[in-house]
Amino acid sequence: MQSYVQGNAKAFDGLFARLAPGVHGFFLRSFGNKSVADDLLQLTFLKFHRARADYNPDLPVKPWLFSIASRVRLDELRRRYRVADTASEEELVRLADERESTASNAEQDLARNDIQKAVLSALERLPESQRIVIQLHRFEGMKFAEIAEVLGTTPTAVKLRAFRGYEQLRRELRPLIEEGRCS
Amino acid sequence: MRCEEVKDSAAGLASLALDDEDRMAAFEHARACAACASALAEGERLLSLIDALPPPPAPSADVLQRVAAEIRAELAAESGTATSVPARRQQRWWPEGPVAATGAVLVAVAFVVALLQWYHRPAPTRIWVEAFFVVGLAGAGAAVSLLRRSPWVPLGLLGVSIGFALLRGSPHEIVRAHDCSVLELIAASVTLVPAVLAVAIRRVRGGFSTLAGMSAAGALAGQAALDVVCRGNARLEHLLVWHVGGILIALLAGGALSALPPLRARARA
Repeated sequence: MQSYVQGNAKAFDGLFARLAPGVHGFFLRSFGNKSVADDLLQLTFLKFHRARADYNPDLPVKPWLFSIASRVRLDELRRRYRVADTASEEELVRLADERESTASNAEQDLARNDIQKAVLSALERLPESQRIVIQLHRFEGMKFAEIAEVLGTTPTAVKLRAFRGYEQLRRELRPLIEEGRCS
Repeated sequence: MRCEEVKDSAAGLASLALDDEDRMAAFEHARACAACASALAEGERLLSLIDALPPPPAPSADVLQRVAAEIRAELAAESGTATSVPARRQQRWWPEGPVAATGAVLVAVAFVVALLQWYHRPAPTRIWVEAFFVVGLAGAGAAVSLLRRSPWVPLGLLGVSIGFALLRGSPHEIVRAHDCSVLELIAASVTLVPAVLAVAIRRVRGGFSTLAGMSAAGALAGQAALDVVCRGNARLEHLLVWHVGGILIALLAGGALSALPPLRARARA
């Protein structure tokens, strides 16, 4: 990252190849639309590039990149729900929770069986604030402290959201879980 | 750990790192509690179901290539080695446009300030036209200094100053007037100070060429004002020593400021 900050194009290539798929997946899971994810990926990396002088070399790159992606995601939610720039994250989350389910979710199309479809649907039904934490925790392998950095909150709040989300999933998917235990 | 705590958060506890204290305490408790062991097993099964989900489709090679090409082009432009920059994205111009316009306006302000500092004789129309032409060049130089980091920008402004002196001046003995250089430095400060602040608050990227260019552009606006009011404005030696000298001092002062540690850090952006 230091090499990239100093303008090394090859260092950027390596970083981009390593991090771009995760960021794209983050947007794809958030909005369920490939072309939106493509655009937001581009926007995120341009912001990342232009802000790279602010990067603290003592911290890992990934949470910093995802904090930019998280702000891009909020901006997209603001645009999507046509709310003012001053709208709070809580308000956006409430609007997002009221949204219609994305029937053409790209992930749903990839699900190989009914179990995977059910798991994805359950994830989709989670409140936005819990779903994003579980996305970053489970799919991006981030620790709660890192997720707190990304979302601008405390590790305790992140842990609480994650635990609530996991428990809702456990309750909703209990028939599948028990089925798996028997097989 | 109590049963309620484990049962209410079994999946979350199971999701924690293996060496997490809460997780270890929960599993330790579950050794002697079948109900909690069952809840934790459910949690682990849930996590395996989530982990078994297929990854989302990867971004297409085309998208990856497009994004990477755009950033590589910016990197190349920043290092001054760009030979062919791909089409810039649409949003690119708007944050930079006002920055460049601000630089140009500052030059105009510097011109007026310089003129007011030393306005004591009327000048023929031709002189005013020349002065505004130089101010225009200085404004363009200021705008480019803020947009592109290239040492050719401040050197180009110095060249304009020298060229103008050579075109206008005829050999005479030097009219000693250090006031001319001082006035140019006042004009330079009108553009340099906001530029330093803009770099400090990260609105624009710093570096030698940016600050030297902004400083030289302000001084050149001062020189344009001198063109109207200076009594020695037709004397080559005077122009080269006091007018071009003022530009050179302003350029070096701007460049020297860019070497200060807080501003140098911004220049790496």
